[in-house]
Amino acid sequence: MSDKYNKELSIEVLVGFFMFVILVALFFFTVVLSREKWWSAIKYPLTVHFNEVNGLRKGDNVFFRGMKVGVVKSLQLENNQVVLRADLDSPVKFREGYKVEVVATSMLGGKQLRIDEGPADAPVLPEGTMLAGTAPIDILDELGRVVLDFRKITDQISRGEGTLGKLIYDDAMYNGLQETISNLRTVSDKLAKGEGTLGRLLNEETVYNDLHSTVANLKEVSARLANGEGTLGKLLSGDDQLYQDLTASLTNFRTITDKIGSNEGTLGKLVNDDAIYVEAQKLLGELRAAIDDMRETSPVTTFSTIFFGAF
Amino acid sequence: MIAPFREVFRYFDLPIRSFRRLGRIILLSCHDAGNALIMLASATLYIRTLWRPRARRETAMQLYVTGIKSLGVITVVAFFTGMILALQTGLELRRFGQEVNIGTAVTVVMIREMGPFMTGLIIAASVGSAIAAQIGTMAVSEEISALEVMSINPNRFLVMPRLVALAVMMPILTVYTNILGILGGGIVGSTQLGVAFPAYFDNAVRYAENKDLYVGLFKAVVFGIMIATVSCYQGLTTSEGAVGVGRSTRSTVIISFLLILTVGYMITRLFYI
Repeated sequence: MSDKYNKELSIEVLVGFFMFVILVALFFFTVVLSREKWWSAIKYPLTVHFNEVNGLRKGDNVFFRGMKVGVVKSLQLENNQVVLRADLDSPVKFREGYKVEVVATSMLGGKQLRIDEGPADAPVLPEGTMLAGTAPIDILDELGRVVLDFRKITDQISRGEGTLGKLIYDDAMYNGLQETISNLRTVSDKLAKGEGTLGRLLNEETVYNDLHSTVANLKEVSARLANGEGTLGKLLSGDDQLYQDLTASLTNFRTITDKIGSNEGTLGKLVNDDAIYVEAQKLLGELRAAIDDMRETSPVTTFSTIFFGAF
Repeated sequence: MIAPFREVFRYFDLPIRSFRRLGRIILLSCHDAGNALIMLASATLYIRTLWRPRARRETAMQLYVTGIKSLGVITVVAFFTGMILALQTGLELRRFGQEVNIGTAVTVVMIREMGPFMTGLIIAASVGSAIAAQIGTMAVSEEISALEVMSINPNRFLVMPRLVALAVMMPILTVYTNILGILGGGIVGSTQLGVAFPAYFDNAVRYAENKDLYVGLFKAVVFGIMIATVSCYQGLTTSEGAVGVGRSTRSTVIISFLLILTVGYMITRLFYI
């Protein structure tokens, strides 16, 4: 009787203990899944007005500077707006330029509220300011637009429009390209064979050697210039003797030209006075007349000479 | 009046027989389902006698058999279910660099579906078949008739404690399965997929909701009632000796499995769509 009683007792204790443990675990699960910190007393309420929340739900997390700071308590439609109420574990001071937005938690779904308090140098908003949430960006929507744009591009290509379309569908470009490649091949063949200037440049060492000697000469010339050797070197050198000589020569030359200009000396008169020119012209006229006379009288003279020469 | 039909029956003997068999099966199934529901209603009414010493002792014994004695197999199955879920999901998610989300996948799948489903299958296969075999043996050895002779209602004496035990213990075992499944997933996540325990558990509770948990537990209660009803009814209606006991046991497992699948789907449909 006692054994049976003990067995029944142990069974009941075992079942009771197991159920108690599991019920405690169930309670813990319930608390965890409710996402509420039942043991945390201080909460900082936050109210934000949205035009759209894009599927954000009660219990979703609130993130501030990448840290979870609370959960969404409620979402209500009021005056054509969604009024979001959240409980934060720590206070947030909103500044001008703040941003409160609904963002996707991951590519697989899920939403969360992200708070950006605003620039640090911006003035703090007074208590009781109605906070407006930023319209959420729907990734799928954006992706849809991208796909639409891409489809337009592919349609254009399939119609043979644009450079890419022509490249794919128009044979002319292909033929042109083929021709270009053929030309390039011809050019490269010629280069390889050392034909033409460029080919010879690439293949023959003579040009290189000439260039090398030219550079060497240039180097020598530049060295001489640097050393002040030769006329040009002297011109470039720090010694200004040549420069002074040249200046003096130029001054003399200017004096001469000035004298010529002012009708001084023989050369000045030759250049500026036309009396000699007139005299010369007159002389030439008389000379031409004399020659003409002589030409006209030459047959008579010749005959007379021959006739009287016989005697 | 029937004579012309006889000629028709002669030509279409095979199809007619097939239809007749099908019709008989449906009618018998409905008959059995009706009787099982009557038995269930009767046993439910006897729950008021639960606190009587004999009923309480029997119920405690059934709770022990259903709960504590099934812990071994449930532990292994639950642990590996979570591990398999985490590995399969994690390997696919890794292709998108999202393996950190296995916590979410394992938790949601476990508490919504796999927890009650796996527990139901194990309990149907182990406890349900045992109940059918036990009561079936009592039926073929006319112990049930003896009880009735002694004015002891089998529904009160045999069915009610098992019904209560299964209805109570199924959700409890489901919570246990969920915990072990999530834990198994976490171990696979940290050892095979490089997902640290804190990240795994943070994700595990991020998207699961209390609704998921309690809908899963509701399923477990319904599965428990179904398994108790099917196994007790199959046991009570056993005939033809040892062969009949074997048949009842097999029927219990098959019917329970089918009911768990179909009713599980319906409950999911009811709460999530």
